[in-house]
Amino acid sequence: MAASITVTVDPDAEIAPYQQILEQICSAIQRGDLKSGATLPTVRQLAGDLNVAPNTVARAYADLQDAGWLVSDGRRGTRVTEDVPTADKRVRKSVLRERVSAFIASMKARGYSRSEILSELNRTT
Amino acid sequence: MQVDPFIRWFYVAIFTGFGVFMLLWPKKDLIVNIPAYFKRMNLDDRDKDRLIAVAERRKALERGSPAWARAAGVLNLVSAVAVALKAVPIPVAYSLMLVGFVTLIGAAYFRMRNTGPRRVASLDVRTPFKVLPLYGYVAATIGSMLPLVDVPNPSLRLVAIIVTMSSLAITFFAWRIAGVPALIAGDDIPVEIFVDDYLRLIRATGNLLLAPAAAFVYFSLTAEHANTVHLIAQLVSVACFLVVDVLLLAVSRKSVTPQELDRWQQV
Repeated sequence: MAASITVTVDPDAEIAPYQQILEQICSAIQRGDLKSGATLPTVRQLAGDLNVAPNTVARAYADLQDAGWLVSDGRRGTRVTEDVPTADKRVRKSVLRERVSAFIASMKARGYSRSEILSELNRTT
Repeated sequence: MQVDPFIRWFYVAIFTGFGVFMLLWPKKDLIVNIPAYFKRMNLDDRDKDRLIAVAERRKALERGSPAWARAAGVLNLVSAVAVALKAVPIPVAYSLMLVGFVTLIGAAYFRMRNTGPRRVASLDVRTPFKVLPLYGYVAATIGSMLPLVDVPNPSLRLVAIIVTMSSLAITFFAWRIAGVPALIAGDDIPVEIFVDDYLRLIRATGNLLLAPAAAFVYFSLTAEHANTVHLIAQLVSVACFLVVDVLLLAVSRKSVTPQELDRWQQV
């Protein structure tokens, strides 16, 4: 369900807002949170909610369409493509980094040391 | 035109009441105040604390200038005096009161639209017709336009046009409020999404209900001009009001759904 999936824009980040939007949507598709065929909000809605210029969202959508992640379906809006590409190394790396960081932060919060986590990761993989 | 003194003083009291309320509590205007909607919800203490904290932050973000509410309050008091002194007919004062309400709603809408910070967006598709069904807007629009049946009557023409324009403007703002950008700062995202959706719903439905109600009150105030067309229009206005009222009951919600609570726990 797309209902609880969110996109965040940090105006102080070094990455351009359109790039932030692009990467988060891409990650959501790769994680399977955004399913094939899911409809995305209009450019106007997303731009209004994030308080960015419509061109920013339009550019992110256009780049995602060019990369084969999204398709424009005329009046029915922008959708996640039925054949999600799998070979985007940059996004794959980004998703992996995000997941591993979250995992490590969670383990550290529970009191595990760096060496304990690394040791267990090595053993398991 | 002779008006029963009881009716005249009744409306003097109404105008005075609205005027005093808006002057004394100018932030408690129609839709920008966030009252204790969320305090009534049946939740455990931890969830309730989160909900109230988000609602309080939202209230602080939306707080704007009370100038519009005060101006509408003064307009109502002037109307009360004018009606008491028989300087203007009650329908004229009523139409001015509606203009004041529309100004307030418009100012509140623009304030909501321009309030920040907006940093987080849900990827859920949102349209005004997902918030409220099309028939609600249609009923409110029809109800809003009914006073136009009195345009051929020179003594009611101006008032009928002002009431119609005001009611249509209220319907328009209800539609715009249903589609206003979400205000999610990112402090507690799932709860913020809930608060945003809830406020959007009650504000849009509240305004939509006000539009046919305004026309219905107009017909009640001009009953002495009743002819067949006027009476039919009044009946239709009641029907439109009931349709929107039923809609309000159908879409109203009292608390957080289990699915929403589940999302809250995932944070």
